Amino acid sequence: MARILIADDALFMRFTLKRTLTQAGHEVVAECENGQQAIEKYGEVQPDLVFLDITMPELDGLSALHAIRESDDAARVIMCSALGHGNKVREALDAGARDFIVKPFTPERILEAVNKALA
Amino acid sequence: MQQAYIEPFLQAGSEVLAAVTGVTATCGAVVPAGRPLMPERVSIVLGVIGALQGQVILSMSEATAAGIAGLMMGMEEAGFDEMAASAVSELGNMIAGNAAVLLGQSKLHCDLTPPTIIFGADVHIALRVPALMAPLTLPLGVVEIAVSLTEA
Repeated sequence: MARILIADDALFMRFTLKRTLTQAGHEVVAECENGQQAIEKYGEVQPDLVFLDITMPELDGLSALHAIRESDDAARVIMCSALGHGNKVREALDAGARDFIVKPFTPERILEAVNKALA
Repeated sequence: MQQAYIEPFLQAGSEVLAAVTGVTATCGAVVPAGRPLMPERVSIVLGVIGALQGQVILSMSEATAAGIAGLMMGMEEAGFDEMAASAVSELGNMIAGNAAVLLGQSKLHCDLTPPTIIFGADVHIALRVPALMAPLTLPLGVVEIAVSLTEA
C-alpha cells in the first residue's frame, strides 16, 4: 500500500488512474493539474510514488520530474504520456523516472509499474 | 502527401479505439474534407508541430461521444458532461500521440499541442491546408478524423 501523487491535466485521466490505484489498495494523497502544482504538493505530502503526465499547462511533466528529483534524489516517479517518442522516454529515464507508460494503458500495466517502483 | 500523413492517424485511431472501448472500428474511405470543415457536434482539435505542421480534428455526434466516454470509464453513460468531454479529449490526445510515434518512425518527428474541445452545432473550421478525412465506424457511432498537415 503506497501514498501516491497524481499529476495530469485531464480530469478523466486523474479519475481512471485514481480508481485503478485505490481499487488495488493504494491511497491517492494528492491530485494536481500541472507540473508546478506537483512540485509544490510533493514537498507538502511527501508521497511514496508520483505519476506525472508530460504535456501539461504551466509546467510540463519532464520539468517537474527534474525539479522533484533535485529536491529528493530518492523520489520515485512514473511518467505517463500519450506521446511515447524515443527521445522523451530516454530523457525521462535519464532524469531518474522509474518507468514510462504510454497511453492508453491497462490497469495491469499501471499496477505492474507501481509494484516494480515500490520493490 | 496528405494521404501518407492521414494513414498513421487512422491506424492509431483504430488501435486506440479498440484499446479504450474494447470494440474494433471499421475504417472507411479517405476523402477530401469540405472547406470550411463542418464537423459534427463534438470536435477535438489538436495542433501538430515539428516536421509536420497543422491540425488534426476528430469529430462525432454528442451521443457517440457520450457512448465512447462511458466505455472508456467502464460506466453507464451519463450524457455528455465535463467528465465525458475530458475523456474524448484524451481520446484525441492518445490517437494523435500514437500517430506521432508512427510518424517518428518515418523520420517525421512531431509534437502535439493539448487538445481543444469544441462543442456546438453549425461550426465552421477554416483550415490553411485542405484536409483529408475518413470515418472510423463503431457500433455506437462514427468518429471522423480529419488531417490538415504540411511539411514545415
